Amino acid sequence: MGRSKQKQAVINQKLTWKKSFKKYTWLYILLIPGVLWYILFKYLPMMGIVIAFEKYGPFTGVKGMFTAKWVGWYWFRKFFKSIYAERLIRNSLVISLKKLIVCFPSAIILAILLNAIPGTRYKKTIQTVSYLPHFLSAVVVASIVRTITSTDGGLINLVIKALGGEPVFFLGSNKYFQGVLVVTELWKTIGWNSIIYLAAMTGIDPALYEAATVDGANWHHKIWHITLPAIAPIISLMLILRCGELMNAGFEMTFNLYSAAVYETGDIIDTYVYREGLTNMNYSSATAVNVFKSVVSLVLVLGSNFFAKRMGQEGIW
Amino acid sequence: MVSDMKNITKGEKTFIIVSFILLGLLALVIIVPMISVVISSFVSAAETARRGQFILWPEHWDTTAYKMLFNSDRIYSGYVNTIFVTVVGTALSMLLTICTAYPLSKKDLRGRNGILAMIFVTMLFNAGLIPNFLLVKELGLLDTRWVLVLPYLLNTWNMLMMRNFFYAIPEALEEAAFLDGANQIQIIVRVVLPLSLPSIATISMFYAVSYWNAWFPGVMYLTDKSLQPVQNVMRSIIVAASGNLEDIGFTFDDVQVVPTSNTLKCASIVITTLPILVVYPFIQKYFVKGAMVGSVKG
Amino acid sequence: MKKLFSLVMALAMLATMLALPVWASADDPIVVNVIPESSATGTSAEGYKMMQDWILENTGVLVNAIVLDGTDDTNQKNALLNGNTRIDVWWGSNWMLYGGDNDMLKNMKDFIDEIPYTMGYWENYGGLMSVTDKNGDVWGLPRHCNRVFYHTFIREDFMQALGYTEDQYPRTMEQLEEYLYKVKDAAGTNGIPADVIPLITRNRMDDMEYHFLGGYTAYGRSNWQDEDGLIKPYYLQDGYLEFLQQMKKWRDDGIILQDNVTWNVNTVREMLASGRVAASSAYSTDLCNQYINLRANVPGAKWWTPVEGMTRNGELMESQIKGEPAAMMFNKKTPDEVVHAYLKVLEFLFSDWANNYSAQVGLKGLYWDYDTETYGEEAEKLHIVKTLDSAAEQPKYSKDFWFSIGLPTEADCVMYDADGVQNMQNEWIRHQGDIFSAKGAFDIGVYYNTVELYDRVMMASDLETAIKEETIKFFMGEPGYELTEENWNAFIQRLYDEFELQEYCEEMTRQYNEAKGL
Repeated sequence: MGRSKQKQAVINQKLTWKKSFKKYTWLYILLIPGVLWYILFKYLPMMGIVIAFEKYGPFTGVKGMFTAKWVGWYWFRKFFKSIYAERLIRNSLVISLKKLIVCFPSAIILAILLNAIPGTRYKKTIQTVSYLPHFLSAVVVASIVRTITSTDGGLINLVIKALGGEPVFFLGSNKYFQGVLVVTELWKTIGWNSIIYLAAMTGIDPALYEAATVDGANWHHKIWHITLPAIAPIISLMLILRCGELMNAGFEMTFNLYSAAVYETGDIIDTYVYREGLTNMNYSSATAVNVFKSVVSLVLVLGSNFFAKRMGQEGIW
Repeated sequence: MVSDMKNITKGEKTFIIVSFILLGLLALVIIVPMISVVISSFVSAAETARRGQFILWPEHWDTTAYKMLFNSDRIYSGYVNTIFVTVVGTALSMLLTICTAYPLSKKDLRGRNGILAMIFVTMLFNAGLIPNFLLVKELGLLDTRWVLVLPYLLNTWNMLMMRNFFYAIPEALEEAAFLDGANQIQIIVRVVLPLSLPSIATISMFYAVSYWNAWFPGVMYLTDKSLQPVQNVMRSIIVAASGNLEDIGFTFDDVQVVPTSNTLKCASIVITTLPILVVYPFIQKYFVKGAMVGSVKG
Repeated sequence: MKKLFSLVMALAMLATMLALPVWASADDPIVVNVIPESSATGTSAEGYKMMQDWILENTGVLVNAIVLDGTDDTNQKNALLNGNTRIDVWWGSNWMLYGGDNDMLKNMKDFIDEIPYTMGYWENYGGLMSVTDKNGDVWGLPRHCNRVFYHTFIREDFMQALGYTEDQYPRTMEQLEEYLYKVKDAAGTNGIPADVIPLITRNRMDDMEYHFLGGYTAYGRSNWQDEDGLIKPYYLQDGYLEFLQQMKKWRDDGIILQDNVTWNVNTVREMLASGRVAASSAYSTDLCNQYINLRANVPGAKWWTPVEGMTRNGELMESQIKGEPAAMMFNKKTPDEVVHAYLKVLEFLFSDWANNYSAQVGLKGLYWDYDTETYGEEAEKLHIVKTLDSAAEQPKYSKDFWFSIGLPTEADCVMYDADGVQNMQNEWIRHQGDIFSAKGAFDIGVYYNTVELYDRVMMASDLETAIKEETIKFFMGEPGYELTEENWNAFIQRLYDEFELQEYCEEMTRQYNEAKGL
């Protein structure tokens, strides 16, 4: 124990700059394109955030960033005073929470079920099928959703009609739109999200289960006392990390499925930013709203990582 | 939880049966919408008018919709663009990823922590839609093929995963090569890369799938229809309100009876998704392995 | 080393792609880049080239018409305007968005004299003032004017089935209401479909307001001025609540279908074509353009409307649409010689009506011609046209090079459908100028600078959105939005408290007074 620690210390000992450059000359050169890329495509745009504090004209280019009038918190104030703020924040959080409540446990349940049955072929088939939606692009999934929920030959409405009901225009109705988003998310992610739990479950010693069987344990005993405790750390970690993303209600899906009729319940911060910015050309206003969301997200992510570390897990870094 | 079915309680037996059923239902729920879309794409307009809207099994497998779509050159240009972006993008991305991940895997490289911190910050905070748009505009990338590639060259998660794979390569091998007189580059090419092939394959596939599925850059940055990748072409078709494809630049000659807009939309979904579906069974195990390893290492 | 090499190659490719210049030789014709107003309508590559060459031969100018996709076209236009190609001419719904700080527009004041034919069309319609700012500078060519296109159309065949004679056709609100309820009760009899839609509207309050509000308020769907000289928007008038209650009653009674508010444009058009609709207060173009399809479904279908407008208590119900500051705009960075070249093209297109029509549907003699067979010499004078059979074999073309200046040219022809009936859209478009049949806006001629308005009144755009969204909730009778006087007044008070309605009115008043020189 002590010896390897010493060895670690030797390896991790920092070289001086000169020594490092000498030893790793080529590697530093290799690093240049990557670092430049980050600076160009990640850091440079960050400077563009300044337009959230100015009255920036959309066609004035980079020069415009320096010549535009400074207005400080104006756009932020405007956003919070407007009816939009409440609706967007509420929608973003509500949709995100609904997705969390439905999709998070479902992936775990799927993993538990897969883990519970014997045999491999059936298991593998189900798994393969369940991962499939993850590989479809958001547009494809949205298109499938549109097609099967349509009132013009869509599968779901035909089932409803067969059961004697009236066809429902799901994508146009404030009552159902959030439900559609949640179910779509479930459909797309349940398989992929179960992987991490299954991976953790492979670490469980089968002897434990056998011993439990011998003891006469039923299935729920096994799950409660063996499976769940083994994946509890992973569950907590995933939950905490997921909470860090609470402001992200899922732009891609929403953008491809929403329409003016469902702005009331379906418009989230990201879609509003897109509309305000690219369609209405209110660059400053859109950027301000985005800054607000990014800051809140940042706080949430840092907070959740902090908690994760407290729990003894590694966090993202 | 069980390796064989002996000696387990009756309750557990029931549970297992129920699980089988539930899992089977899940698979059905996942597959059925996709099948429904495929079937809908083969229904002719005449049959829709006659038999009403929902058809479980078409009497006649009408391929008019496919003919129409393939006749227009937008699907072809869509594929050309998508393939270009995927191949070139993945190649450049892998190049850049390896070049960045390998040096960062050297724990005694001076400046490593600073660079990692810099990269990490970009994961936490993102400038947003408009600043990115303005940058692309200033670089003159609007309406060019490269706009679908350049801003997306590096994915930090992939890069960190690659770095983790490099950690796994024993120092001893590299040191041995070094003692044999190889310089850094030769070490990478002759020792590290051959050993990393599985992980390179995995990460390449992550990149390839995300390039193939990308659609938002096209929406934001492209107006030239001939540059649109196939996801965007399909999106145009789906979103075209009237189902009248001419309104979005498709041109058709000699079409006898235009299929319903629903059929056309379904056909375009099938055309766009087919390649992924075909390749999927072969590549999915790489992804799963990669995801498992990646998740364990955090 | 191999890696480095391929990296260098990739970078070289990158550099080449990014730096591709456009080499123009001295002899080439002048090139103009235009984003036409209409979206793509299926023009083939050959059709496009044919028309582009036609313009080139006749004017020596090479026009590139960059046609937008129907989806996301606003985004596309903005992206193009931000892009690498210099766009010389484009259309927009509000020139003020591109002027001001953005400073993208070319002052056209001195160019107007070059296009007498084009501007001649606008004389009767008074469009020039919609593009002129308070300093007298002209920032584009006009596109809109005050118009009337919210007639309520009624199915004549239904009326006849109900036993109406022509003098009994509804000309007042009372008569209209009587008809609507009658039609609903008679559903399933006498040829009136069982699933009849007594009245169809678009999915927003605007259309209903433009159709009916004039009968309930003094000024109709228009801004007005109270005794203190304050300009106020239309919903603050006495009588607006009564109007809203009437519309809601119609919805509750099934005259307007419950689902109507969720129908998008295309659904409304489908309904109009299906034959179920007994009366329409939707956008009249929807109706007119679907008439051909309607006749295919229901051969005896016919629409009627009182040309002199409908009244209620002696007041005209319909309100005119005030001309918007939409315009054909020119890029400030475009060199003058390119502008001259483009204006030459415009004059070419407008000096002869046949040229304008060709730009819309294809070349004369190949796609269309004057219908002298049926109508003799009058055909050429009155611009009575018919589509030729040979058109089916020609490359597809529609509207790419049609640089519209709006109503004046559209109204200048007569078209007949295949069965000898005058094309309904063609027939009714000339009635869009019937300003006697609708109430004029109070502030006709005053074009509010919305950019300044939104600048000075922080909540202005939210106020306008709130109105749109909330009035429709009252119309639908959503919980919490019962249409009582109490609720309505509380709503208005909320507008004052939370949405700066008072400041909004004051800013409009300031602009109004400035425009009037007060």
